[in-house]
Amino acid sequence: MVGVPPTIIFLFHDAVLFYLLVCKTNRYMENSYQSPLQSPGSQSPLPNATAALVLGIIGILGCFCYGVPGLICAIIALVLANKDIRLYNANPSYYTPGSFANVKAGKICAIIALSLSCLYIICAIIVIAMFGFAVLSNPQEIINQMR
Amino acid sequence: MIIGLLSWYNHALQFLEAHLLTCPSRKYLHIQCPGCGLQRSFIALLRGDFRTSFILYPATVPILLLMGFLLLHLRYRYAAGPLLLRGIYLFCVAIILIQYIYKIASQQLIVS
Repeated sequence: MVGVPPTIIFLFHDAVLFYLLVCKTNRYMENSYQSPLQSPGSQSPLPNATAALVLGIIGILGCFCYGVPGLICAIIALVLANKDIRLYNANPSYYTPGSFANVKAGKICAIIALSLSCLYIICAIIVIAMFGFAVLSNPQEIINQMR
Repeated sequence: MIIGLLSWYNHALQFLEAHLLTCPSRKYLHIQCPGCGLQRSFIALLRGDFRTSFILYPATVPILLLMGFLLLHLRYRYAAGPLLLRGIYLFCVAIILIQYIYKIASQQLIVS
């Protein structure tokens, strides 16, 4: 772990912990809701609606440290949202429309966060390729090169 | 007792100021990222200094609003919640992009 900035490890660790927490609780709730004793008319929320929404929104905050935590959050949110949309389209009468709206909002947030963090990573790579690490470690030289 | 609480608060703020997380982009590339200034801005907000907070990072208050509304929505499940969340989110993203473009245009991007 020497050489990796501690910020990234910290954020990554937090994101994984949060994902595990949210998804485990949701899966537990899903199992308890879809018991055979339940009448077929009642609706339950989509299993990963909350997780998709929260991760999609956190994606924008994680976007800015090399874009890596934002990328991870956004990809997880996008996958969860797509899974839930497929689930809802298979049988829309089982799930509440409110949770479907949550999933759609989460998907849009995740797409925005994903595109922004990709853009940021590409920009960082372009900057490194243009100037090189040696120049970037000396800020006075960048200013000289730009003039 | 109030003075004790205030002094404790001040100590907590000083602790936060001394232990800011350094942005890797700023540390290794000497180029500010779109999120640079958020922590300083948040501490300025905790001190009650809205003006400094806005100058350091204009999107802090909208982001806090977004997080607060997200928590409220998860608790109470508003009908118009997803739409509003999406609106605030787009607003935050727009502010962040505008301030980054402004930073590039006014040549504040490179820090030593």
